[in-house]
Amino acid sequence: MKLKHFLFSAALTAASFALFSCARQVTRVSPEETIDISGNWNNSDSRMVADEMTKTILGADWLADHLEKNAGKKPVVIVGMMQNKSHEHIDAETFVKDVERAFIQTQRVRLVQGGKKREELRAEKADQQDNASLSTMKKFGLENGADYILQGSINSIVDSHKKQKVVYYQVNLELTDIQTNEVVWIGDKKIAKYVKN
Amino acid sequence: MNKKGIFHSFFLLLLSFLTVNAQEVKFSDQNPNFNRSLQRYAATSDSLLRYQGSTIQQTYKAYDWYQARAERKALRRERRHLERIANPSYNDWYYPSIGLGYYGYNNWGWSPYVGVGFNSRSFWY
Repeated sequence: MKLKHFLFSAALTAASFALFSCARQVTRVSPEETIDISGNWNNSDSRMVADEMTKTILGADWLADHLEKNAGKKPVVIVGMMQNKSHEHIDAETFVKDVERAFIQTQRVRLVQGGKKREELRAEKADQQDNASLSTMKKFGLENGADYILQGSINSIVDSHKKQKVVYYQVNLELTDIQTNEVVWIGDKKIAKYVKN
Repeated sequence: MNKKGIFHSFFLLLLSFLTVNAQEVKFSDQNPNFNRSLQRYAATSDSLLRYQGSTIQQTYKAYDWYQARAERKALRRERRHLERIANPSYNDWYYPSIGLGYYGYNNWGWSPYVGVGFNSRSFWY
């Protein structure tokens, strides 16, 4: 009887804990799933931009033109600076990396490192001059020069009144011929959201 | 020095000149003043390429009516709180002091009346 009472009270305590405690609940969701919580920029927007850019950049005329002009030699692209001129903190790397990955996966465009990663590579090469064996030491001056630079910008417009808000994002990516400064491709993705508080 | 020697030295001089100025006059259409630009950008390329591959945040603050109202409210509360602290007649330790029967801790210990209204002391005071 005592045990029954004890079990009952234990179950009651556990139930009340489960009912009234403020335990955080975390559920794994698919990155492909669209979940809008605040109306701010989120992973779905980034994915939409990446999908659009990847699809258009590899299907545009600049690639065929380059291959024709250069006897089938694949173009070499470097990723330049991205400017976030929107009202939110957005890191373009989330979708630019997808575009870079598409370049490598499709084997149609060659990619070279730039910025801080390139600095690190050069520093590693410099270190090898003193520490690596002669047969494995990498030489300076043999890097691949990029033919094109990929640059981009994110802009936004916010229109709000009382509890309603429309947010418009425009993401632009541009591919420019480094030799001639000619813009050979512009990709854009426009996203508009209606938010009601 | 015979003629052959003079020719050899002239050839070597020409070769070294061409090697040093390898960038120069490669294309007939190239601007002859390109070296000026080359020198200018060679000196600053490190700083210009510092942010290559990264996102420069040049965000702006968009006007959001709903958010602006919340911010105004927060500012108002903050200002009132500071005013209350600055007021010498305010002795209550607890904030806010609105409402009857608010049980809290004041400078007389635990009490059902921490205060009534703004800038006031206890209910009976």
